[in-house]
Amino acid sequence: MTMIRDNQSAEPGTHALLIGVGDYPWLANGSKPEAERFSHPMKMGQLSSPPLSVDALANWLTDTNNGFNNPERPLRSLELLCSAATPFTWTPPGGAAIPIDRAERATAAKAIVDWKKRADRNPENIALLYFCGHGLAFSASQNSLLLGDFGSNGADPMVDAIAIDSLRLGLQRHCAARYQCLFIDACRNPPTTQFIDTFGDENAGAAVIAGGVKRTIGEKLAPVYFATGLASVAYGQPDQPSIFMQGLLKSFRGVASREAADHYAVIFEALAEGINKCVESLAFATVPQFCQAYEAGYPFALHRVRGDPEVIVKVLTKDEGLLPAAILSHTRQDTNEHIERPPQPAPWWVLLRLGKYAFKAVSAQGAALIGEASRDVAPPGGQVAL
Amino acid sequence: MKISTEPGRIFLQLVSDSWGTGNEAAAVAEITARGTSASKPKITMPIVVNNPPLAVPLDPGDYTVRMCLPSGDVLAESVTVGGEGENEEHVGFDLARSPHEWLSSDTAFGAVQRLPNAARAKALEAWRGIEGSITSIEKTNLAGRVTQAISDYSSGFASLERVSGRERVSSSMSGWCRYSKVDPKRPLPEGRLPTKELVRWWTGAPSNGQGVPLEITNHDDRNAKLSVPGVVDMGFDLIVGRRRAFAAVIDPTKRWHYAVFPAGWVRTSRNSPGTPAQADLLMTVVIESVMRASEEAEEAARWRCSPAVSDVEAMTYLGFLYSGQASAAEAMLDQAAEILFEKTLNPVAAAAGAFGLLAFTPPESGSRRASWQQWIRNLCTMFPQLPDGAIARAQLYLRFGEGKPGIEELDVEILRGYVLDAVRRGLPYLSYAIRPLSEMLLLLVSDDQEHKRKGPQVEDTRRARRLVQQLERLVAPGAFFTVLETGEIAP
Repeated sequence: MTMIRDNQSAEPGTHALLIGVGDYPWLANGSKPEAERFSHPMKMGQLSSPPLSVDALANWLTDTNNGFNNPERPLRSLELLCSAATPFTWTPPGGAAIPIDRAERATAAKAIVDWKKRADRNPENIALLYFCGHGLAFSASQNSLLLGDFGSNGADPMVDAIAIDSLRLGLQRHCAARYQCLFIDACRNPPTTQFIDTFGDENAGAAVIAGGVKRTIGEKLAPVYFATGLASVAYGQPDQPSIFMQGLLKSFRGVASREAADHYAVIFEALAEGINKCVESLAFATVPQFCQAYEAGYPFALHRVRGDPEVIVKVLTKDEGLLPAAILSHTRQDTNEHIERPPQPAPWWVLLRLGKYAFKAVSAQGAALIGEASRDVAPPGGQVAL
Repeated sequence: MKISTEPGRIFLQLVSDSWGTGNEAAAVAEITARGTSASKPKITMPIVVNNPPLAVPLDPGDYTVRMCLPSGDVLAESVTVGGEGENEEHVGFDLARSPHEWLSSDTAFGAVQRLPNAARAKALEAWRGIEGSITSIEKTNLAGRVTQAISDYSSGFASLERVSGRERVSSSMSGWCRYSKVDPKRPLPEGRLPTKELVRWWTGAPSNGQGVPLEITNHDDRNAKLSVPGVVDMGFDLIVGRRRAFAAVIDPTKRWHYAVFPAGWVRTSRNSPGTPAQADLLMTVVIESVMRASEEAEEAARWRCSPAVSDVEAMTYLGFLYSGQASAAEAMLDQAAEILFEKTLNPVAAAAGAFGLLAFTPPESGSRRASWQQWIRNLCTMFPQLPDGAIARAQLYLRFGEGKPGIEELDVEILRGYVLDAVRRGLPYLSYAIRPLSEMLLLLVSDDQEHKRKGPQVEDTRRARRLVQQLERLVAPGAFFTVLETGEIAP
């Protein structure tokens, strides 16, 4: 069973399909005997992040207190597919564990078609797809998502992959939902030359839903958020949700939000920048994994933030040489809540609630003031150089 | 950015200690009302770096001010206007410092990465001991993150060291500017072309042999600027596609880059429309994959080629277009619309404007559409050798048809005509144009399959699709003007 929820409603809502592939039996270190494994694994092996990422997003989508919140388009249906080293189960809040089908060619194709049918119920629906697993990029507009049985067909491996760009165009052509939001949490490395010489480069996988020319294509808002730029890896830490998923969930708390009438809303246009800020804060890197979005330039609200949004602020000293010996602090002005960070060489990334803060940097030796500033922080946040 | 408030207005200023933009805008400020006033339309305006504070009249209330930067970064601060006689001054955000003053503009546009250094990698180890002092939000698996971050920095820095070096740049980087013409009547080839032939098909054969040597005008160990010595004399022909200029560059790791060289560029800003802007190439070391598996053998660092023009407003707009910042791009377009579409000073810049309008205009918006749709049609017909104009034309048709009243279904043969025309015009000036071109070809091929069509046009579509697929594999990600990376194969 993979269907977690379907209230059968034809009212506007959100229909989500989450696919995670962590177990690739035919790739490096897979469960198949070595002699049966795929001859061109391209260094791709087993992943621990996808099941955790699917679990985290499913929890968020179904958490009515702290998770997904879209009164105009509430969650109407949720389906999961996930391949993990041990059979994957998902436990809803207060419920019993539900066994989840593996994400392989047949199950994924059926799940996508079923999900599209649910999204067809109302043109005002949001169709939300998340994929986490291995990916290949034959080119900027030819990206492949590899399913759990990838490599089982040694003569034509791409039959066990989804051509996500073709699927996206097919959805725009055939799916009635006006809002189609895709999160692709996979590497975008090119296949090796040996792979292309052996199998060719025309087949990026199955479209599942193939698209043709139709005027209504232009009427859909169909942003796609790739976890990483072209020719780059998407990163997962052992036994943690992927970096992209951690950034995505963090950005939903407000970093990717903008002002609405009486609340803050996470909107398509602000999401990629919000994810990037959050990912940068997670990785301690000045050159982070980079979320690349296409056709995301619309202020359409995906999620309503409860209460004041959290924003992300990077605190550092103007003279980077002083940072390793500086005590950084921020004080919220209405509550006087004061947080300090001891001297460290890296900038300090802090997630703060909307409001006024006083920031200060003092030298650890002698407590001399290095710099101070006051900021009334707002989404997505910013940088405070002291 | 410094913000000071007085009842009824705020003052905006964007400051940088290494770069001023004279009278040209390099950012866009966005002012949004908060709370009960949030339904008011937001105000957007282009902002000049290091100009005197700009006064913006506002009704009393709470606002969020966002400064959108062309690198994709957005900085934000809340401000209250006129609340109970308040007249306070807030210090906001500065432009991030460039690693080198001579690269300030390129850093602002996002062409230069701020790279890691070995000291940072080693120093990060200190994080391991402080887990208890970090807020709960950041505490999760801190040790694991830090270990990975150290590994990433170390491998990235080692790779940087291997591919860069001041001596290496000055002695082993060379480039040439080549001129060519693209024949729009050449046949669409069957099958997969070898890299060199593919590049020739898209760019035309050079008419000046090896080309004019490029001069390294400035460099350090990880960056170099190259330009054509003297004045390029072909002017307008080079930005309408009648003639094309390309730069062939070999980097210190012996890899080739073949880039659109935007010679002949003229500014489209309101303050200096029609004045020539110099073109150059920035070669810079980047880290493509900062977070890596330990067993990865390939270099994390590599040289990237980014063509640029000394036209701050055009580069700023391209930054917004590529980073998908719709409202900022729209503000820049509003300022330049007349110059872009009516004066035809710079058809490539006009095509960039067209892509912004097509990408960021919501499907339901109708009021502004009629005039710019006609501009895009004119751009395509007035400049019959400009690939980008034809791609915009095809995209316009796919989204809105021919603009006839009522529900208009698309004629697949009309779309095919526009798309094949675009392919035959050669390599797009803007790399942004390649993805929509590829998507439209994918749609056409799928539609032909669905309807089992046959014939020469269908065959040409299939061939064009293959040519674009092959091209896409060479296109360097992230550059505004198209750059092809051909590896060790000299183009």
